[in-house]
Amino acid sequence: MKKANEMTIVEAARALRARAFTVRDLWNATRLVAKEKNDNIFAYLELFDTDDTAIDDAQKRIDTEGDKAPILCGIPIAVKDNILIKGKTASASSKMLENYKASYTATVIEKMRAEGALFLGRTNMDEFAMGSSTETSAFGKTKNPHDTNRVPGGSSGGSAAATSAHMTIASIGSDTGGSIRQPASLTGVVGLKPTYGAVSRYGLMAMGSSLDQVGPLTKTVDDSEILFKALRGRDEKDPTTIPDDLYPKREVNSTLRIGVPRAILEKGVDEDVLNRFNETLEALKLKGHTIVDVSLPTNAYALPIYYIIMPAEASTNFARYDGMRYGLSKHGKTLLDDYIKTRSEGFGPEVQRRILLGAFVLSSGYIDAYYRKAHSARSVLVDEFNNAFEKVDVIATPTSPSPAFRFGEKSNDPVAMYIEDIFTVTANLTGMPAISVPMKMVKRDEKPLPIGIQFTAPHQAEDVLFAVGRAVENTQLD
Amino acid sequence: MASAKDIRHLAELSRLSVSDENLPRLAKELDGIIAYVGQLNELTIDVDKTPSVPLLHNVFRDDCYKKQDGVDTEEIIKAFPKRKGNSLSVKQILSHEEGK
Repeated sequence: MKKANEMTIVEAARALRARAFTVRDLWNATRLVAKEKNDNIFAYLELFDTDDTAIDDAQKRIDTEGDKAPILCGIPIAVKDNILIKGKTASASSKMLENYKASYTATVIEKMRAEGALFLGRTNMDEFAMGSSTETSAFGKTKNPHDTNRVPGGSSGGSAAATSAHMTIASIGSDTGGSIRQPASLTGVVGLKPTYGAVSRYGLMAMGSSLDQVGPLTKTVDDSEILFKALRGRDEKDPTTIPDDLYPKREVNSTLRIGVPRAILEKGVDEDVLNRFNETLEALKLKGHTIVDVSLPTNAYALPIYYIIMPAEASTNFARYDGMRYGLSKHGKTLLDDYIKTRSEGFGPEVQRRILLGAFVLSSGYIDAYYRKAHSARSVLVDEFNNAFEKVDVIATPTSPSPAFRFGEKSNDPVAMYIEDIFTVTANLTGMPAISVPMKMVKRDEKPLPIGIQFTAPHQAEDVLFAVGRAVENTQLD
Repeated sequence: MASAKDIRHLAELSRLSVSDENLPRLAKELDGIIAYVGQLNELTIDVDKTPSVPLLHNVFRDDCYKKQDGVDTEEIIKAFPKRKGNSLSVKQILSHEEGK
């Protein structure tokens, strides 16, 4: 039998019900591995103490309710450090919130807790979710379990590495421009960015409010579906959450029409990655799925659009970190000095860069050329995707243009780092759901490295993503 | 090109201080990013275009006080860096004269 910590949610839930082990055995085994590996991998900023009451309650439910107990009952989950659990530190890997204890609990945590899930710890991330390598964390670098000289991607790098190295059964993260999918791709796990508004953001620290979503990082597509269904749903505390039937329902056909925007794959994609991508499409074709060329001309501008809209929204959201009500608080002579000292000492370089960039694109004289133009281009992009989805069920690209890179390789060149997000930002701009699923590995320095394929579906068509994701998993078995 | 003056102005708007030492690096980085996002100028589109299917939807609720009294209040007060009783203590806003 597989070791308990190496199991998926489905396997662990089955083993708990078959009395192969207890909730406490599963917790202890997973926490032990997490603790042992963390010195090297540094996926966790903190591992939580054992919560005996929660463990006993979960066991009682499994004993009394059996198969009727929620599938997450007794399952250890890792949580990205920008999601609040009342009474626990929530730092967003920033000095600004290093000693901040959450004053309330995020809805996604309440929902998982109601199902009996257990929380293992808070995972490392790029500071305030700004980055694609987890190198901007104020507290240390998370390593890629497949090659510890390389980054795990970001910003949910800790959650991805923890899942990949079996330091948890599954994780949750947040995705503003690819922060779940790109680290999932680089560490070989499944990452889902749900439809904008599908999952409550109450208790998630805001970055780009028209882009942010919470979602799962898991070992399989089945687990992704399980966690998504546990997290999703309208929340009175988050008015941007959407009703179940906001968008037209999509049928999940047994064979799918897969659209490929060939034009944007012509340059900038690593050759091995492109080969894997084409092989995966070929394998899907053999299973009866259809590959169709789609034209999305504005997609070539998705990254510039994103790096205008996101900083504009972030600079606005980040005005709240002023040292007045919580978090770091530095004092000078005047109130203005207090603000400036707190923010300059609390925020790291990437956060400061994005705040300045946001102030620039919104400032008078530039707002028309940058922010308003980006806003209009985003609308064109949404229309292009909606049109494409009249002919296809999903749109496929690689998740990231290259496999995991070495530490320091891109950290001194912001634009090179931003290009990591070139295929992922689009789904955040359109609000459509997207999933990253591992393809076959590529080799770097003799080491096999994972790389993901990304599928995007129309709004609220996550079921189509799970279907195509499972199809990719099945081709890996051949 | 972002001049030293531009960066200082943006920093002032953002309530950040930029040291003389960091200024040249920051100017170079921002120039690089602004040049990259400036690719958008190649696109000819109507300004003020909105998507045919809106991304955001109005949400209405009853105009009433929803929060249950006392829920999370203690924790929020505990997080205050400076307090007097249950009130948040801040510096004087309208005047910066010393000793006030």
